[in-house]
Amino acid sequence: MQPAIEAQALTKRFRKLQTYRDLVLYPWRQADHLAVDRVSLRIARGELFGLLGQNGAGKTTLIKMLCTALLPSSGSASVMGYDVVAQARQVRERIGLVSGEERSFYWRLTGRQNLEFFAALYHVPGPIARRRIDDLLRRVGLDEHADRPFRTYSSGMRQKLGIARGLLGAPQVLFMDEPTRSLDPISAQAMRRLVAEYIMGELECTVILATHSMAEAEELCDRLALVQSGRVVAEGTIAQLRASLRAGVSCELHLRHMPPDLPDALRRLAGILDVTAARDDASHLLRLTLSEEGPVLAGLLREVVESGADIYSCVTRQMTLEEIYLHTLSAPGAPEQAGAEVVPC
Amino acid sequence: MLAHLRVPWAFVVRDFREDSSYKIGFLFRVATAVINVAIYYFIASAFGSAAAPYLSIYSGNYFAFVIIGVAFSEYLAIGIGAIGESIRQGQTTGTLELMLLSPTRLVVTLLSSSLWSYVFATLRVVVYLIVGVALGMRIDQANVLFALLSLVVAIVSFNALGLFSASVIILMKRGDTLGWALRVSSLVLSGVYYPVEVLPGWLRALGQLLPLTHALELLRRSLLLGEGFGQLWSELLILAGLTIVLLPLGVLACHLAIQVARTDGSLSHY
Repeated sequence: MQPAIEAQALTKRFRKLQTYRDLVLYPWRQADHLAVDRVSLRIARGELFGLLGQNGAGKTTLIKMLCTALLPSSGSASVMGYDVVAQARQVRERIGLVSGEERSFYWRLTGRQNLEFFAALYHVPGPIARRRIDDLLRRVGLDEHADRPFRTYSSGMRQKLGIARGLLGAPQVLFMDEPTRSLDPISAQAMRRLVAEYIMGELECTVILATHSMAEAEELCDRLALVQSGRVVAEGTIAQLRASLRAGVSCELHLRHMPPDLPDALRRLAGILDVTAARDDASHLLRLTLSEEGPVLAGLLREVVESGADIYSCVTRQMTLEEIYLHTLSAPGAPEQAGAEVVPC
Repeated sequence: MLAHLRVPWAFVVRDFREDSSYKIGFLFRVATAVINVAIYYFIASAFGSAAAPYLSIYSGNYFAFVIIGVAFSEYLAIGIGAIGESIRQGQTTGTLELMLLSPTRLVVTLLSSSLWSYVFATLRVVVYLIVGVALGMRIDQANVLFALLSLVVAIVSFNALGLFSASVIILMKRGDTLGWALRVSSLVLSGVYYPVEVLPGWLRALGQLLPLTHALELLRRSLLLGEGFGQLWSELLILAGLTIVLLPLGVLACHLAIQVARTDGSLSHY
């Protein structure tokens, strides 16, 4: 089946703004900022795909190119089979955008009036629009506030109205750019339920979710891409990411009578990626990152016992998404922080 | 057919709701039309006779001449400014990008965004004419149908100029130098406050390139003298010709400006 989204080496460079001084002294010099660097993606229909990365990593730029707000510098992308450059209108007929931008409404209109306006832009016929607006306002929990001016809404309410707007055109693909940024934990949980049960379950949308919330990504996303400096540095399910990073298990050991050279001895063992030691009153706490359980864990415990230390407790657990994220994006081999520059002349 | 009107209607409703929510400002803008007419009435009473020799073609009445000039030049101000203003508002509120990401065609979005301003300008023009008539302006032999036809063609031509101005705003965000230049040159060269006959020949020739010059000639002669297609066909043809040339160029300018903004990522910048 044709994927919902396909991107091939999608790249975006922005011309850097020059200062007045540069314009006078170096009028011909131009500098580019590489925001998205040869990103290739294939997202299946009905999939919820997460984009994770630091601020300025290129997530929003990538989303903007896919939803036709930005023209790529090179590479290509299609949404539901339509090219985002050559067939932008067909793409727009099939997508919705939930932006993290709170101010993108008419402040003197009510929430309902704002939705009526955008429904007309999406060519939703009047009676259908009225029913859909009522339904969406109820689902996002704004039905009792629908006829209040938008300017009286709290940040969370504005964010919820943004979600309702994104769904007005009954999109096949929904782009959500940090949709829970301004939501309190309870509202954020309700939004996650809305995404899982209504948007994915009933509407069967394909969703691309850019977020900083690890809990949100872990709970919702079928697959994820970790983005850094405009590049996708890792992609897959959380299990695949764990496996591909060979950093799947976290282990905590409480020890007594630990020889001082034990941490160094453990670092030399195959499959042990990281060791930190801390002292806690009479005991020592060792935090280790293992590539896997089984033989690596067995070898670790053997080494500890043979060193003469007493093991008081041993707790292992799978690495969380947050740990994978931190491990991947702060790894020595990972690309540098956003802002890679190309200065052609 | 109704489906095609849904988007323009949505813009009119949106802007009416926004405008009428500023209740004092809404009423004030209507009231200023009454005050303007009074000012021109007194100017005409004081100096109108001096202008009479130049106005024989328009029944010799300066008050009627200037009221029609001022009233209908409001459409020019709207045509040049309203689309750009709407874009600027969309940039600052962050709604522009979302509007342009909808499946509605760019030209429909842009032209619809100025519709309410035209409705409001029409309200002010009606106030100008009613108060003008109350103060002695005579339009009893007006050819209303021809005046309306001329007005429609004029509005389309003003909007074409507005598209050029909007392109500048999309690219430069602030400092609509083109809109300013078009407005000022039209006020100076098109005979809003005085007949173009008082201008030097070369300025009069420049004025012929502006749609407002022909629009005012058509409206004054049809409203004040009751002239129609038989007498004014050549003037109407020139205005229509200017419109046919300017409109596609204006649409093209906006398309190009938006492509540039989509390339440099400045669609929602302000």
